[in-house]
Amino acid sequence: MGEVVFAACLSHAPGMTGFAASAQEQQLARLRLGLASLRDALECARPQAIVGVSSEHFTNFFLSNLPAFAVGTASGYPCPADDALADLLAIECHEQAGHAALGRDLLAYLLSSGFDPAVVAGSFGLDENFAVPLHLLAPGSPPPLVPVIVNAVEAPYPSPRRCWDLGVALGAWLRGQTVVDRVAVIATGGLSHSVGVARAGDIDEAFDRHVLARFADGRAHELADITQEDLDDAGNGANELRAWLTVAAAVDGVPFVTLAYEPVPEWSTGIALTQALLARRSL
Amino acid sequence: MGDGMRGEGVDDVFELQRLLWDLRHDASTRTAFGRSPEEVVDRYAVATRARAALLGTDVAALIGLGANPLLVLAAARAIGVSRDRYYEQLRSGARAERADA
Repeated sequence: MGEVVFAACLSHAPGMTGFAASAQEQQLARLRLGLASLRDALECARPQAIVGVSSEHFTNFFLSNLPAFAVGTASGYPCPADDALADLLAIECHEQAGHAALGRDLLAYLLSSGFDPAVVAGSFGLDENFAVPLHLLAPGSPPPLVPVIVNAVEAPYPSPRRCWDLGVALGAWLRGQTVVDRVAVIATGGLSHSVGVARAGDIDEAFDRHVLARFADGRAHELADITQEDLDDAGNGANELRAWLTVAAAVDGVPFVTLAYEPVPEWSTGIALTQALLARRSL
Repeated sequence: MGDGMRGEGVDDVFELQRLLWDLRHDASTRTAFGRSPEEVVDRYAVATRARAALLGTDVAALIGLGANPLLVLAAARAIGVSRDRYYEQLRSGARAERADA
């Protein structure tokens, strides 16, 4: 039986790697401390694979076929997807290992559990969704990844409640799967931000702190009923809260510690780093 | 993000976004657009306003027509519009729109 040895929800703004130095010095210092804590915790957890939940920013999918949910079953992913993204993110192109067997197991489980995710068996490049967090959390040697994509870029979106329910199924599978013993699960995206629109740079700190407080109190489930209007008010990028809800549900809505929160206008994003307080079976 | 159902009609917005996608992902489309934007835009079934917005790299108009801002931003970046220039153009377009209202 598998064990979730690490769970976190964090932002993936391109500025975190691509133009980090543009942020104010003290904000950057606090974020670096939070990242160091997350990085140490992930290393100590010694996961054999990472299941990552995030959105996809038209790097692979297009409106001709845009799945609500997708699961990666490839053995590797170009990371970042191409030279243009490599330049934007200041991350050298490389291959991120995928855990194909684990991905296939998750896909089969979800298909037998009332979900119908698209399969991503290859030809799928990573953008900031995973390139940024993996670069920061596990530089050099991240464990193999199983990407789970949630549509947060184009309406109609899967509802926040549906994303929560997906997380419940994900959690049941994580605990029951027998492919690997130790798994980390991360959500990436958010918090409030606007991309490509005139209000880019606006950060809804009240929204962000509301979300973080619910996660800290172990009441993330209350956010499953958040309205699309509330998400839109926090910016088009706030739709990525869906990934956070999925991971919170996967770990039974346990409290998450906020390791850092900084509204960074230079990166146009409310940047948050959180880690779940898991009831572990071992140190 | 865009709702894909606005603007001049579903097909027009889809075609407009298909061109934006191709500019981001297809080097030959980018090269041809740099050489002759009109020739590239003519390959897509976009209507008059979308055509004008594309040829003028009017990002505010493209979003106003219903294109997803992520696609607009990515396409603009792909054809060499800097992040600062993109947002400057977007905000001046939005200001002009408010002034016209």
